[in-house]
Amino acid sequence: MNSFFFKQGWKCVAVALVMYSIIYGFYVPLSAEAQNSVLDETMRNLFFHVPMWFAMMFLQGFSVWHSIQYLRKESIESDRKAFEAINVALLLGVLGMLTGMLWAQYTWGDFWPEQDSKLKGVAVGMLLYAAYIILRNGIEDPMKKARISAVYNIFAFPLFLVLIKLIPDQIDSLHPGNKGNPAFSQYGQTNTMRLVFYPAVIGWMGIALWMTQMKYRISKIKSQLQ
Amino acid sequence: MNKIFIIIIIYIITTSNVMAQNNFIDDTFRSSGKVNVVVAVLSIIFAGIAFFLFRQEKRISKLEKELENQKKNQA
Repeated sequence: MNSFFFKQGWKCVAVALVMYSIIYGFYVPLSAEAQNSVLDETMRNLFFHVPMWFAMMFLQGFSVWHSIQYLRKESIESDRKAFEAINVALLLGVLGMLTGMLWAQYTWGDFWPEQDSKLKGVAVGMLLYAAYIILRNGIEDPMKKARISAVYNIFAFPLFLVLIKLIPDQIDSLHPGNKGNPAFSQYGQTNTMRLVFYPAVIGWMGIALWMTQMKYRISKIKSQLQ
Repeated sequence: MNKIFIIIIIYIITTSNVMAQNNFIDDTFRSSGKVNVVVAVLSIIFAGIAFFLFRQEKRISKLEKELENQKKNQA
């Protein structure tokens, strides 16, 4: 039971947490501030759109960790983990972007509001990681490829954080949580809402990690077959 | 069986918290009760995807074992 829990159980936990957030995300009472603002019932997107970005950043951090491990131990498996994590992170980023665009259309009246610096930051950040994948495809020698992309990955992550957090903090952004406001507290996030939001974030992080693990195992099988 | 057992336990813990503070009929979004249908559809979809992922993972484990056996036979 114990060994099962630590090997596989966390996946069940992640599935259960996301399922819980899907169900109670629709029933949880919203704060009066949110209901009276332009968001109204779309505030419930908080439980689905925002966890995408949290899970993406979690995977990028995971990837940086394995890039550091690669530079320390030169094990090609660490490089594989780092690469697959970025692949899944990009998928989550695209999903977060699409859901964000839809939400923005109904909240700010535009799919891509010009005055929001956070959107531009995220677009540049995603290109940064697209460049990472192109860089990897451009190098033949596997050891060289792993070393160069590990260093690139370690530098890309802080830059990504600057682009999506520090710069929007300094200039205008429509997103809550910028210009010194702690995230979403301007809409009076109640404790009951937090009870759905944080499990959703943890659940999606687990699912993202699980997807990464599966991609990693498939890529390992492929390399063994060659 | 273990998987289902864990999921049920987490459910009981998490749901008891939110259910205690819920007003189901306090606004128009839920007063008709039709939102239950949407929630049910979403949960079925997500449960299906999760089931698929578990199945896929078992297949990957099987492939890994087969590869190892092949290597042993070759050696």
